[in-house]
Amino acid sequence: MYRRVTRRLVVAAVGVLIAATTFAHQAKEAVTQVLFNERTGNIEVMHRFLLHDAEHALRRVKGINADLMRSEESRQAFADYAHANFSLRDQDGELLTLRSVGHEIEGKFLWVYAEAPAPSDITALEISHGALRDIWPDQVNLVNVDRGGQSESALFAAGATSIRVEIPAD
Amino acid sequence: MKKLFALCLALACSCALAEVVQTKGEFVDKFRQLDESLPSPNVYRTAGGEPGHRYWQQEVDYDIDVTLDEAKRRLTASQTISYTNNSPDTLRFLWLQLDQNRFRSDSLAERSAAFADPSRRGPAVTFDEAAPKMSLGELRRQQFMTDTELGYEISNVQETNGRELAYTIVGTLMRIDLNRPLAPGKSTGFRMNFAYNIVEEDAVSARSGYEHFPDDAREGGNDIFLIAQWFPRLAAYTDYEGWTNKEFLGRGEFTLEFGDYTVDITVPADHLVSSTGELKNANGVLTATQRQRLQTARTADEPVFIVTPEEALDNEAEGTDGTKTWRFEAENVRDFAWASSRKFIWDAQGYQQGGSVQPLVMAMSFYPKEGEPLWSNYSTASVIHTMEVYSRFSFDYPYPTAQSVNGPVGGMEYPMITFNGPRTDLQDDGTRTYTLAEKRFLVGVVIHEIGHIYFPMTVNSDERQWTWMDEGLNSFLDAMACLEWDPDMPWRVEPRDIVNYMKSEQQVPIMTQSDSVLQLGPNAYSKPTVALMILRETVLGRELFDFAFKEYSRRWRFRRPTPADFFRTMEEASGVDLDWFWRGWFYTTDHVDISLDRIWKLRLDTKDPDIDFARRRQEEADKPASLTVQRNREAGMQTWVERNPGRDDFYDENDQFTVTNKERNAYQEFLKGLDDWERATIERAVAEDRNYYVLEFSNIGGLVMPIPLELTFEDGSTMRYEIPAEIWRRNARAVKKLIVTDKEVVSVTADPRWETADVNMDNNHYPRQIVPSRIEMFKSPPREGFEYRDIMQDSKTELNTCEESEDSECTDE
Repeated sequence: MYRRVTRRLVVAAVGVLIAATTFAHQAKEAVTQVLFNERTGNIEVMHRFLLHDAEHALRRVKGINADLMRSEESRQAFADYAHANFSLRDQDGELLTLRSVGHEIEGKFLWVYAEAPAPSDITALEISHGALRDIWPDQVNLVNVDRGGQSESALFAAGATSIRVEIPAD
Repeated sequence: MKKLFALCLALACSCALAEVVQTKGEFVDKFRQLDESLPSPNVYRTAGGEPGHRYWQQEVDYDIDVTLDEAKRRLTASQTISYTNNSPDTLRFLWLQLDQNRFRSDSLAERSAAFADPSRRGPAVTFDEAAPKMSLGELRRQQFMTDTELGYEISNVQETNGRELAYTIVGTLMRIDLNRPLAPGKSTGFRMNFAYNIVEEDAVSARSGYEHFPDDAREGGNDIFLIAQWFPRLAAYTDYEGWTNKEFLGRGEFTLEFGDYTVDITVPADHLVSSTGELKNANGVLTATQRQRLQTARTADEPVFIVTPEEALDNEAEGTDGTKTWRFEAENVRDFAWASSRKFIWDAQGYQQGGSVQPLVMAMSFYPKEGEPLWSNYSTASVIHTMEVYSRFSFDYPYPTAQSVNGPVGGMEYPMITFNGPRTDLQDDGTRTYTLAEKRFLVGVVIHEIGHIYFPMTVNSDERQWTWMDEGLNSFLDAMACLEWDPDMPWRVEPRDIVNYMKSEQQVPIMTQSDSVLQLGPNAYSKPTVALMILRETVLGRELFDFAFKEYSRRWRFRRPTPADFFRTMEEASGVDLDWFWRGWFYTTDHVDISLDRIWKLRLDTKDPDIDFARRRQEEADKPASLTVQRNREAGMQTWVERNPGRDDFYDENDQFTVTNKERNAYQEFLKGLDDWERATIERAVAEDRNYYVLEFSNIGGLVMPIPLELTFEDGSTMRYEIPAEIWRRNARAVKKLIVTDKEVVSVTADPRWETADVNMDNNHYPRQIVPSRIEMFKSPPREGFEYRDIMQDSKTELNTCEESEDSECTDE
């Protein structure tokens, strides 16, 4: 019992000490598309983050003066953070090894890409998307799993840190 | 299964709303009159969406004396309120909003907050069965709320003549029972004392509060105080809802009554106060130099420092035991907020708006050194830019001041004053710098929050009910203002940006009460913004949209619109039936996915055998040759006919398509049997020989929308053609459309400019095209052309010169 409590406190202590800012402008959101690409045979993961949020998060997580527009190093650091906070498991809980593909800026967004070969027998994905959620009070991460024009969604806003999604039939 | 459930739910909802129900077949009327879902028009609100001839709203005037105790971070105040009942009803009690009570540990907001509830404003908490997590931020919040007694202390509630008034506190609300019923047209006055401990904004997330700066030179550091939702405020009494006494849970903001304010604010003598209203005792609180600079600023071309960065730095290093009282007066505002600190730098510039409403507006910014040099560069400039653009779309800015104050709040608006969060970074060399992203955030957030002074501070919609009515309209306008600031500034939202949200299953209709919305950002900001952009650019066109939007703004300026008033005005003023648009975008969770499934090419059968038979022959010739014949030939085999050249007969000269006079006579007989108009029609069609195409579309997403098309012809030229949304009127699932062209079409694309938020472009092309995914695009070979140069990186390259270079190329030459 004692051990468990201690562990939770440790878990709490690694949380980031952050001032929660409030907004009457748009709340923070990230959108991820997990695409079963029939042409490549891969599961493609495409994260879209708001550039400004990503920049502030990076300063807080890594403690560096991040400048995503100018610094490739900053962009890479954020991409690494995003990859570290996102995972996919199959229906049996087997972790899919996602390979980083790269990242790019488009307007006010920073896109971060990863992919993995799509297992032929996959029926469900256990998704975990904690990026920015340990930092911002209002952060909402929406994940759409797309296959053959069909979509299933996982919304990382309510409690769960991992959400199981049945993969749309091909 | 989930989809089926969602469908049932949607059907159940539409049944609940509509009296008329389709009980046979599967017909869905996406164009059904919206009036069935809107409240009945009446003498207060017309069927056209305008205030009715008996429209009324209450007036509430406040006289407040407030003292800030800096050391205790506590406000103590007394207020006298004059309430005028313009309603046709007799009131026996009044409801007030006590927003600070939301922070009490026994508040409904606190007690009903589910663990890891995403809708709560506050630090992150996540739930995972293996290990539930609380961030340190949440621990800090808990500790702050344990250590600090929060919520109002209220006393001496009495009529202005001193007679006691009974009152009951219900969470964040307070009911005052009047000693005499308040008849229509009558006023009543009462007063009360109140006090509360100010929350630490960074710990609690409150839209206001204090921020502490422990590292300042002054012993014990300094604070910035942003004070809002701070006095017991009369709840709105309305014709459509009665008392708007919904509990304050933190998410849904508020609506209040317009009225006049006189507020005396007593703060430490070295503080600067920024506030709703106009300063009335400048002589008592500002130095002669500051007053002179303010005078200069009125006609200046750029912001003038009233308090310079150097003066602010000196000021924040000291302290004082003395106090000063600042008097502000504000007319016809729906709320009152202020900020106070000895850290503030202050700049100002007069905005010469012209017109009769408010010819001169003082645009001003207040910020600590932690915002420099970003703030002095762009804050006040952004304030003025906002007014220039918004006034064109709506009405002249109606107040004497427009202010932007930097503090712990990311972005929040009140009449004449906004709180904005962007900061700069202190570098090792002692300078402060900022990134391009932070600059864009500052310009964007200031435009957005100043924009809120129009919507909802002047067009007084009820934020607690409908977040979209202010956030959606305001985000649409801030996008317009940002585009006019710098078209490359990507603060705006484009239709393509919301497609992943639109197709997701985790959403609720825009017409959902603020506290129940699932994803506030896309629901209340981006989706309504994109809807309005589509309405302006694709459905109505700019001229009609801008006229109607301005009319809505004019009608409801200083009044209280509901969603129905917006929908009705936009239709009435544009002259376009938009019921389908409001239904689809605001009342459902449908998305846009229109598929161009198939195209048939039609050709006129002329009946003239000399034309038709030749065409049939050509069709036959266009078919690929028999594979057997082809291979026989390749193998060098000769046919019997080839081996016997002398044995031709009639049928070697003629085929089955040879026309004889028998057919020609039959054709002449056919022509004779026609009426004159039939004959003329055929003759003309034969002469023109145009191309007739039937395009088949299916509506996969459910939202009925116009279909913008681009047709590409054989010669490479293109043509645009827009099918209006009304094509879906009698079949919302699948439609066909005839298009007639002179040139031959080789391909067609639906929504080529990505203007309708169509979530799937794969099915927009005919013939189908491979649309690469983002990752495929990213991996494809680097794009070439001047616009793809990374000048920002390349410009860091140092010039090679031969004098300095040991490069062999230099020495060789």
